[in-house]
Amino acid sequence: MKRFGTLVGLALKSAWNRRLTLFLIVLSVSLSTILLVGLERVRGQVRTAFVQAISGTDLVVGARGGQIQIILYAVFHLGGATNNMGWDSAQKIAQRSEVAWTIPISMGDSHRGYPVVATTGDFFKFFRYRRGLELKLAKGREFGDIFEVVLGSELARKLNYDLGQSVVLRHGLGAVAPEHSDKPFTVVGVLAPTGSPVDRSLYINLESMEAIHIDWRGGAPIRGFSVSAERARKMNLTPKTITALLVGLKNRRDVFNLQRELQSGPGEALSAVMPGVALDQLWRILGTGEKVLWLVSILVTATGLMGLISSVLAGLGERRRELAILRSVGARPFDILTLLSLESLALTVAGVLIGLSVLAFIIAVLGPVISDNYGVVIDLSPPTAREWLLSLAIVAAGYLAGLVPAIRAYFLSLGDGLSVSV
Amino acid sequence: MSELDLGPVARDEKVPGAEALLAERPAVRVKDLSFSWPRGSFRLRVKSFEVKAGERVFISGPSGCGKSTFLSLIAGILRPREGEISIDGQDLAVKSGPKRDKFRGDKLGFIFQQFNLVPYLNILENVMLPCRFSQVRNESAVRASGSAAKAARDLIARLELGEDLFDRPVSRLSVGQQQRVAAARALMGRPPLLVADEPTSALDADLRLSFLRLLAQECREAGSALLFVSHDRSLAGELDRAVEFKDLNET
Repeated sequence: MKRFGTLVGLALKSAWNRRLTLFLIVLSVSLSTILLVGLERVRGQVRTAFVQAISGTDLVVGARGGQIQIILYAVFHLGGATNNMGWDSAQKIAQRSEVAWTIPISMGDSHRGYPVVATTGDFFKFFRYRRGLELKLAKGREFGDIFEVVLGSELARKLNYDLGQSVVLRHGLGAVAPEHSDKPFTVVGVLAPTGSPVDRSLYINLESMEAIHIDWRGGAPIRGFSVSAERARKMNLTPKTITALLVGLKNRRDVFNLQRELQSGPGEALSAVMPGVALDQLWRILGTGEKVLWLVSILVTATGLMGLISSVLAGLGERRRELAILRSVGARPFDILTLLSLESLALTVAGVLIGLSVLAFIIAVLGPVISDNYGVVIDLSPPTAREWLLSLAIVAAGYLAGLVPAIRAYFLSLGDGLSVSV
Repeated sequence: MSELDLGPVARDEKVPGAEALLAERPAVRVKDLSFSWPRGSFRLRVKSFEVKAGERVFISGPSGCGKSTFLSLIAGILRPREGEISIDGQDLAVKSGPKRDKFRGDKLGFIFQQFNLVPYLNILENVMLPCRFSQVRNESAVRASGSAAKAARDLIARLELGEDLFDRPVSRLSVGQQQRVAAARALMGRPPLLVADEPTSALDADLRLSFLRLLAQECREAGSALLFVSHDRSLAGELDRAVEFKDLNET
């Protein structure tokens, strides 16, 4: 133990003596750490935000179609449905004994590129995201009357909208589609940020959706026929179709039965998708890019460690004399191995610790900027188990890399003995 | 520890009869030694060579004659093909690698031609280095001076290195100063044998003699035997005995 202490002392003094070179090694290790652990952090958070964009919903039901497509429009509000499902089918599902709640969703309109989601008050009551978090209003109230709109937080911030703002919806998702300018909406509420697609949509009730389309046919206003907002208010605004229905069950065990019955039962042709499964599949498709990023950062780390090996190896030539002196005072070749490998261990540990600190700093400073601009929430939280594991892997790789020069030194000191010709 | 190992105590305290005992325990004893490199024509054969305890021997010979190989054998770095090498009464052949490393740390002090010092340690740390690796040397120094640091300071002072040099990086010392620090390190803990491999060849002519005299005097003071190897025969007369390497090597 005393000898180990001696070796640690020698390693530290020796390292301090070559601090400039070693500083560069530490720097490259910490850059690798920032890259690898930072990527893991972003990947983890993006994945969480993605896979947990919806939570507590057992089935997403839509007209017969691909399950990924249903998830894209019902959860991410991306693109449109090719077919709608009947309101009567939705009612029937809602009345089933095993169903706890449903949230109908009707889509197709937009406002300045942001999707409009028509739904009911149950949306605020039952919708959950990120392990069961509830929606909260940052300001105002839920929509009650028709022509009232509640905004997602990101959209409200980006467009700088506040309560009382008048909003005109555009038919369809394109930028050149006609507007529902005769029936403007009023902002009555703004949701609190969720870090999910909820932040990027506008919410109105289903009746409003009907009302603005009452004088439309086939995607355009009917020529020579228009219904004023006041008259629309008094008409029957029960929807005939909706885009999708989010279903929550009383007992999750019923999910497979219900899914099978809905998809193969009599009546309207429907698809029922378990969102968790579909989101995982979707993530796997999108994850290819992630794998490429991984490969690149592992290569960068490997390059950094190569740098460690080559600079320690290069320095070995100058240290042969020193190692021979240590041998002459009784150091064993194994001590030389320990001395050198301690050094690379210390270097990588220092590099990883510095890397993690700098990363924490970067997240603290850039986190809010990223979440403002990209909607990805990156918390300044202690490293996850995976991140610790990753850091340990870097240290282990660094130690192994350091063994290359250490083993070389071991054999050099065996062969040189005390007589190094300088 | 074997019963034979009297250690430095016997030498320090001048126990009556110790001289006689020590005489039976020569610092170096080489018998019927033969060595050759695996793929080389060079061979070394030494029938008999002995350095008595405390004896100071000068070995001379031109460069490349095998002196360094001989010293590596005595240091236990190289192993002979045949024959016996004993240091301070103990046979090196029966010891494993790590045991020989420990033995070297305990029993031998080395001074090389140049670049003797560990560049990132200061003078004091360099001199104390043997005590870090050898418990025996450390205990010996503590016994003699109270503490290893005190022993090191005493030695440094005796080797005419001023206290003002202590904080200076060893790379900023002159070659002569560096060699004296190396001598202090070799003498630290009073090992039974000092091996000096061409320690004066990097020194100016006028410094060589004074260095050798100082070293010889300190070896006598410490009771250490000295094996001083040099190609410079002009120094041969300064020690107890002088040997031509070519007379040793019988190939």
